[in-house]
Amino acid sequence: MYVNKHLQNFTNIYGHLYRRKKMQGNCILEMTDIEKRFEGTHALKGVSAALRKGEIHALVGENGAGKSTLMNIVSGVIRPDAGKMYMAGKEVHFSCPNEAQAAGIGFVHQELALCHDLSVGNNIFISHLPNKHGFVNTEVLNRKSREIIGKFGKSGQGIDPAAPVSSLSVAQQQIVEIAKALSMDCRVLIFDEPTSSLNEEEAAELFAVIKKLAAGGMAVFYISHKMDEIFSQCDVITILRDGSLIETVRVSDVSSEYVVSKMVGRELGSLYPGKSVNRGEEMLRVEDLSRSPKFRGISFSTYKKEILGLCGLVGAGRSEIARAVCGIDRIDRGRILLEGRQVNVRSCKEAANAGICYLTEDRKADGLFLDMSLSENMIAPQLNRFSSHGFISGKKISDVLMYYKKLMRVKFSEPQQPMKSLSGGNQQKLMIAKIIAMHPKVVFLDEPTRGIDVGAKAEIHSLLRELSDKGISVVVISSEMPETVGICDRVVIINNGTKIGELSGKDLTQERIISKISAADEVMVKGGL
Amino acid sequence: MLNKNGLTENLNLQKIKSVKELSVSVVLCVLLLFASLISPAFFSGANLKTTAVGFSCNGIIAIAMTLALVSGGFDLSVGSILGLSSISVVVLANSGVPIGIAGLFGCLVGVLCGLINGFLIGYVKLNAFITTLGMQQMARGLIYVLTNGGSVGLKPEAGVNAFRFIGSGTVGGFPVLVIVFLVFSVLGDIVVRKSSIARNVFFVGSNEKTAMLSGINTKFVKMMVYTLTGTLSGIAGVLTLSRFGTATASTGSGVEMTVISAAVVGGVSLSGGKGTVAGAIIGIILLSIITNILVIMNVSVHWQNFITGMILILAIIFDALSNRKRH
Repeated sequence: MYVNKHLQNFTNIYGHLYRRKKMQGNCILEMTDIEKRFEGTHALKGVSAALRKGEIHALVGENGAGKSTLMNIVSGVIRPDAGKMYMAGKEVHFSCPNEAQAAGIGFVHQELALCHDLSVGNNIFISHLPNKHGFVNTEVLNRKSREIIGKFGKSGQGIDPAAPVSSLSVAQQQIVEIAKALSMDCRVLIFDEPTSSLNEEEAAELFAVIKKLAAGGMAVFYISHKMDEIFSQCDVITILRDGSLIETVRVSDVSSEYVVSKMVGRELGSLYPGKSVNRGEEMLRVEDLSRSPKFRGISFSTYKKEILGLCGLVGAGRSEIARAVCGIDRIDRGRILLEGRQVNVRSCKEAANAGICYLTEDRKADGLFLDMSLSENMIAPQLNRFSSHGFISGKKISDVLMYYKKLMRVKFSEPQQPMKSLSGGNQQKLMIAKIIAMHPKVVFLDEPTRGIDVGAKAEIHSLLRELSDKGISVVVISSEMPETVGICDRVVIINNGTKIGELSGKDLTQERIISKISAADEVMVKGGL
Repeated sequence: MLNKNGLTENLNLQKIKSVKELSVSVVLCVLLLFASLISPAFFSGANLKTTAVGFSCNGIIAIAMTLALVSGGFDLSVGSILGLSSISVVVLANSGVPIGIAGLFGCLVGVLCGLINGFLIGYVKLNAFITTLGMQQMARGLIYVLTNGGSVGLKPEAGVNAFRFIGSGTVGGFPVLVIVFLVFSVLGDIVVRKSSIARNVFFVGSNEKTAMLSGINTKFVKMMVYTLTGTLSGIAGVLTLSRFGTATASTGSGVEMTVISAAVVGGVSLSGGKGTVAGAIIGIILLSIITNILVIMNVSVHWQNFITGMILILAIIFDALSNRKRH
């Protein structure tokens, strides 16, 4: 499995030669001078782009740069104020998603947009169910669905057209999303951050599928924040900033630093702050922590002025360990010592009171109240502190909010605006602020930079370093290996629920982590597991 | 490995699903058995006929309510629309309009109320709870205006007897109303299960945004759902009138709760996306048989309400537990 990954890197280097050839295909979709204004904002300022047959075309830009608006125009969800769109040389106007689909444009949405209660087949053919005299022809539906899923080869195996979507894994649901687009004979496929909820293996499978489609002549628009993905998979990059087209470049002609600097409009310093100079005294000690069947015998310590990483593959038990230490999940055995004293945490409230806090990995599902105001979100975990005589004190809240606005460089206009009006990066910063405002001693941050753009990422990284320097013990869980290596001073490696090692200083490299994990896997294979 | 897991999960799912449909039917059978043990009167032709005639009109509304629930909403105005339709037919017929035309007008009242609900919920994007609650009050208000708070009977004019035959006549000993109900339910079940149009309602209820992005006209789908609940309530109103020959100020009151309860008992999901007409119909039958048994056992009317409510909550608990097993 790991050999495969290395092989893949190898082929990527030579892939450019192969892709050059493909670049000569003809233009299938062209947009010229697209303009769009929403109330108050100029979302797109005369953007032009062209997509060729068989091309994988990345669309990059910070949150709010206009990527989604542009793709929504292409797929007929919104109409442009000005500008023209051509498909295969003919001018087209889409006034609703139906028309765009009919013209051959498929959209694979970021948030898997499937009807979970309905079968795979129903989802694939949602807009054009095969019917006979007004009744759905289930037999044809399942047969045709099976044909389309068959195109995905290995990745599509095990997807039963009659099974409800809710029974599929996330990766399989992604396949269904793509199948949905393919069922309409599309010529252009738009992917909006398709790998954000996939692990590395699943992502690799998805890329194989996308490559296969492109080789068959499909033109692909690919929105992503992940530079390594773009540089290994795409042919062309179009960079947007603040609604304007900055540049369209060939992947082979530029470096990722160049693209990032164009995206943010300035030379970005390092994505990662410096490492810790000297770590302080021990803060948290976990001894022999077990929770069957998720993890067993986990021991580690965290220190002041040090950022610790819990690393391992998705599903290794990283989040589960953090959740157990933070009192969210029960433990079977083990001890937790905070500043040398044993603490018994039976709920996340008790843990928070003791000074151990957990930041969830999914801010939309369980991190924030998106419909409520910024200040309400801020006070949710500690209403008492912000109340006097049972009533909520507005003054205290806005003071605290303004303090963190400055500290964390959050961009918002007033405390009363709803959380969902902020960009992902600013939401993430406020979610961290909410935790920090509780004055914790130890914080566990699960995927602290998921789904936010490069600029905000760098800011959150330096923020974490600042917090650590202030004496808070910071523990980070990240599925992005470069981030783990870049920001942590020391990592504890978890594999299949057990600790298989620690790395720090010069030894802390991606290669060392991967070789540790694969060595552990081999032992397991030999051991007959 | 993934594939394997996926498959076994599917199998479990299907099992749970079939168990769910089965369990309501099993409960129904146990009840029937219980009823026959309690009193030989239960299985007498007269009692069965009365019970079946009693739930026929509600059953017709339950067909449409299933779709409203599947779409992720519900309709609280069905009872009042039923009453308004009844009383309009009486008023028109008594003022000399031929009963056939008056009956059609009664159905039209339902269509119109439903269209208004549907337009407000679908296109103006109002909340279904408030919209249909408002419609319930408005229609009930009109009923009071038209009946003066009392009751109005059909005058014995030409054609009235033929009209009354639908609601109270029998064919070969079989009540006509029950036949009408059976025709509606069988058609309704097939259409909801199999037709492409109804499938759109499932898409909207399961994930409205997806449905919209997939090119389904979600506003129109919603409007049609409420138009259908209105229409079937109108038809049920005409049938109710033909059964009793009079409309009162309270005709149809409380029907919405009975019908929604029955649908939920029959496995229709309150959060949308799931449900069958057959389930809702079994639910209706189940609830009326329970009431019937209580009547036979001489249990007071007030306890009947209590028990109906308890069954509703038990049904939701069952639903929640089987959902939990799934995830």
